[in-house]
Amino acid sequence: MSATTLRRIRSALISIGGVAFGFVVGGIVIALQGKPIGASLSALFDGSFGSLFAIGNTLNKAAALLLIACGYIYAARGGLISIGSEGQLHIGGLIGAAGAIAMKDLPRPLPLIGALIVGFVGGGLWGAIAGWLKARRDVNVVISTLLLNYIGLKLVEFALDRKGIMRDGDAEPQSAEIPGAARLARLLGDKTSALHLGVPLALIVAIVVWFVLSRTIPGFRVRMLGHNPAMAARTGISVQTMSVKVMFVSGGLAGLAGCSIILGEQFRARPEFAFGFGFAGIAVALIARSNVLAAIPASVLFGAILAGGNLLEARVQVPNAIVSVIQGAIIVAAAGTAFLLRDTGPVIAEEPDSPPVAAPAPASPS
Amino acid sequence: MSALTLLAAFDPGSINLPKLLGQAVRLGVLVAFVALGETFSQRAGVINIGVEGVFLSTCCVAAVISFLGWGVFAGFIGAAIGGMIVMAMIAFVVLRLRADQIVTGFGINLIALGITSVVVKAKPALNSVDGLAILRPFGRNGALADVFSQKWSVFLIVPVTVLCAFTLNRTAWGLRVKAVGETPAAADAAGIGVNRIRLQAMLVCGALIGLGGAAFALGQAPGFTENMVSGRGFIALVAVIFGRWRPTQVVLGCLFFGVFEAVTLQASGWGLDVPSQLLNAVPYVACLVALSLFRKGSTPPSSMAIPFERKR
Repeated sequence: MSATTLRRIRSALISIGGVAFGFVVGGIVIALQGKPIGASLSALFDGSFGSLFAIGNTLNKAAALLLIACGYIYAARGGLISIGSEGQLHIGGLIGAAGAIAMKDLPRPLPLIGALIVGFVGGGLWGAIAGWLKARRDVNVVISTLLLNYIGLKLVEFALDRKGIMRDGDAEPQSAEIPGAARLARLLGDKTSALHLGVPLALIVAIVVWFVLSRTIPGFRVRMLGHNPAMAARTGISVQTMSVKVMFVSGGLAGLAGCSIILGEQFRARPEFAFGFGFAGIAVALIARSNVLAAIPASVLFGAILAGGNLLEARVQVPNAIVSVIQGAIIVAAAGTAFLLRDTGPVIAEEPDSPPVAAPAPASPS
Repeated sequence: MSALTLLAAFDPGSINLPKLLGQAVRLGVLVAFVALGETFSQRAGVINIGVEGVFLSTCCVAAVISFLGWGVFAGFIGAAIGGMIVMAMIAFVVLRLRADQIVTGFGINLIALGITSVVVKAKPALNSVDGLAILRPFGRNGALADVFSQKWSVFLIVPVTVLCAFTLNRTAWGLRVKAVGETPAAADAAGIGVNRIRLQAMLVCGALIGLGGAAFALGQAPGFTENMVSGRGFIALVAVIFGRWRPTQVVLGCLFFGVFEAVTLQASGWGLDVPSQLLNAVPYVACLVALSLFRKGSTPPSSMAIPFERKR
């Protein structure tokens, strides 16, 4: 086996260990409440993989998480740590819903395509604000995206509370129903499973993002911006314009996730319709260590935790909030074990056919 | 709804400036403790994005202690110790394991949100606990009374700020904190244990966040509700940048944001017909605008977010 393969296996094993750690922490919190761990785990499993219906829920959630993770990774490769997906996905979903309703009389499949496009653009513009603030005013992207999350959520709430296109006649602040022509079709029929077209679409988008980042010149420019902005500038890349563009694409992908949730599952835009999804999607990207292909299985895992969490609450009365404990613990574990990978050194430094690397030096005691 | 109809009912006479300032102080000070804590951490070179989660957990600790009937002083001490314990855990991950500080903080926020939500769902009665007494240095009536009739935790910010500024600027330990934040390699060569000082700064940070948490859960609410902090920890993070990593300025920055929050709460009483959702966004927009406008002369500690590793 080549050193690269070994390294990948090690990386996967460490990720699995981190996931196990997350479940152990979650299990401890469940046990402290005096709830049965076995029954909780089986509820979590039944809710995520126990039936075709559960699998559909898991994959639908995974699709949205994967899109968000792709957005995070795209920006992260460009050196921009954006934690603004929460706001971007809500803005994108809202605008996608508005687009779907406005275009409902067009022939199929135009309403769906149009809604996805405006949703992408909406989320993208929201992301681009952070890019612009970084480029022109040197505002830290972590901070600006954090603040934009709150502003975005409030704006969505505001828009849904107005009379007009976004609000149905009812008392609830919510949009009109998404017309059938703009919905993401159910793949297995309404009765069997909620699995919808967004799942294969997200998979295709992920593969495109992977391809663009790793095999194309624009993707190379993004990575150069991330690795060495000064070098990127010397080769004629405008760092400022690129920051805005990268953030646009990153936000757009999160916006698509919002559309996938509204056009595929909820069929109405409501305030905070996907609360917490943005952060869960970033968590997916983090445990995938910013590797788009690794984000695919990671998104299924997190989709399963989210889908199973609902049954956990219904069946064993363990609050749904346990889901964020598990996610948070997985993230901390991923961050805390990153040094294990760093110490093996960069792959390119190794001989092509060198014998398996000996046990890596443990972290130097500091 | 045009801007004209919005302003038509606006009645400037209904603005009660002392009341507004009083509320601004009350809201600003909550964040100020947290921001002071974050200042120490960042000065030592550790950006603590987990500030939101630590803040939330210390609020919960303070509320639980008061709920158990151990008194509010115990609530403050318990919250400070709780903050130090959480920060010690973060320190283990970011200093010893050299983990990415932003990723770690992010995870800590999720864990804190999850655990505190579970706690409050198990004990809903936490939403109302014994609070703090109000001090009235200027009596009950008059403008000064409106501004300065506050829970005693609010007055605590004055000695705490002085102490923080003194520690950071006038003591050997403060100098070390700044040294490990700016040039850890040089500090290391001079015989300063970089990660030791960073750990100490993070513990101080935890204790100060704990004071903020207790002031929030016992002085403001009083009680604990799910995600009651809702972004105020991040506002503290912004205030640190806005205050250029200097304790006094950081506290002033918090008061500045307090003014915006107070306006948000009181604007409906002024005949201003601004939808509540937009008003609620005002403090965050103000943060963003402030950050983008006042960047001059503001450089973060050079080694921020970079784990220390001795060159071999």
